[in-house]
Amino acid sequence: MKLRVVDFLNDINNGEIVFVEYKSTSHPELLFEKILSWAEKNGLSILIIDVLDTFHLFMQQLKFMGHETSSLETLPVIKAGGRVETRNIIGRIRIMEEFYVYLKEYNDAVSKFFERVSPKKAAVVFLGTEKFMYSIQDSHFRVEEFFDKLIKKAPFKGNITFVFALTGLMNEHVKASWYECSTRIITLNERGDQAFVKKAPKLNLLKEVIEV
Amino acid sequence: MNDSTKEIVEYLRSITWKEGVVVEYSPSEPIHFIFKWLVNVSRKFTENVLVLDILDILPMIKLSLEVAGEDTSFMDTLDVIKGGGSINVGRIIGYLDPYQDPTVYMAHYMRILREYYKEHRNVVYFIFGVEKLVHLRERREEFELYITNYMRYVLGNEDRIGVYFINKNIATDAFRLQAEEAASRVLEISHEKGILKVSIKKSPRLEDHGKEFKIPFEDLLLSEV
Repeated sequence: MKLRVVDFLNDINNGEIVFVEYKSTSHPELLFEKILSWAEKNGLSILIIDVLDTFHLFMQQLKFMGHETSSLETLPVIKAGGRVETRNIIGRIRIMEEFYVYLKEYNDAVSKFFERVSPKKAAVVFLGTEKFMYSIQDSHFRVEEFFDKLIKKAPFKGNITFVFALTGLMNEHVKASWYECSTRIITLNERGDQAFVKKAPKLNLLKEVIEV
Repeated sequence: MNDSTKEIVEYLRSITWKEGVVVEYSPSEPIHFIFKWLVNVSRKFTENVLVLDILDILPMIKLSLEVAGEDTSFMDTLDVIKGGGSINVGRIIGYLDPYQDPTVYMAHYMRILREYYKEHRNVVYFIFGVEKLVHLRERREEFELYITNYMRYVLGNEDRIGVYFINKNIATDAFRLQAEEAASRVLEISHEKGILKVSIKKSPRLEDHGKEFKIPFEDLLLSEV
């Protein structure tokens, strides 16, 4: 029995972090699209935290697959680095600066978003964070600090966080830290049309396959 | 012509403008024949074939074709941007110095391209040797992010078909993975016993994932594609 995406998503509680890992030749944008339309239907505010134009990339891949993307392209985005001017940028973070500059700009941008949407619940989607991490992951100290100060943050409590990450770019420390702080881990297959549940709070979901 | 050859030609023709295609090869593959064949396929629907030649890969292709007794006159009409290197093949439209700071030569690169696209429509753009640029930098990680960010940026923006030839034995993992991610299609090339194998690792149509095309070498030599 395969699990439908909506059933998987409906089971998620506020405060959870869902980690989605994919290979470079997969199509993670298919699940991304499904998550956004589910969030919209459920009245959640959506925030995309986009590192180095990964959001643009997802949109282009969807277009090449013949999907309509205009409604997705107007969603609010906090951009970390990158060159593409997407439609609705609500905050910017420089990434090649000092780590504390990143931290400050990140916190400012995120707090502004949550002030605006509160008390509504939000779905926060991280794209390309593994790329930023790639530049700092040689320092174990920084990795721990990143998770402590950026991911396990108060504004995210009570909201649902999705993290899309390209495997292969993360070292073991980064990957293990994401695995640890996520309540659910799903791995996309080669095509991106199925996802394997690797970690879940409820045991009956473990090893299930989700049909995207 | 073999049926599988016809199918791959059909497949190649289904590529749309603004796409980015990564072609992965190991250095023992006969890429000189593959390149000639792909230029042949491209010229069926456009005159404008542009090449970015980083550190003299194109002269190597020309030499191999000449030694094999092949006609290389098609190379004289290629538009070429040279990235370093010293041997000119084709019509050189610009020169970049990859030993400079990347922000300097990339600004120059974008100017050259902007001018070129002003005058040329329907461009098939072959890119050789980007994976080598990574090794010219001391702060490798930063450059891997920078250059693959550029690949994501041009996907869907630049009005051409970009074909990135990547030597997988030279490319770093972080570069190759992000290049694959930033491509709409990833093809892998290998050969055995007189047959060239093209495997599709990624494609906009999910059904195409994992497909393999087998092209007999003699089909690569046909001028009719």
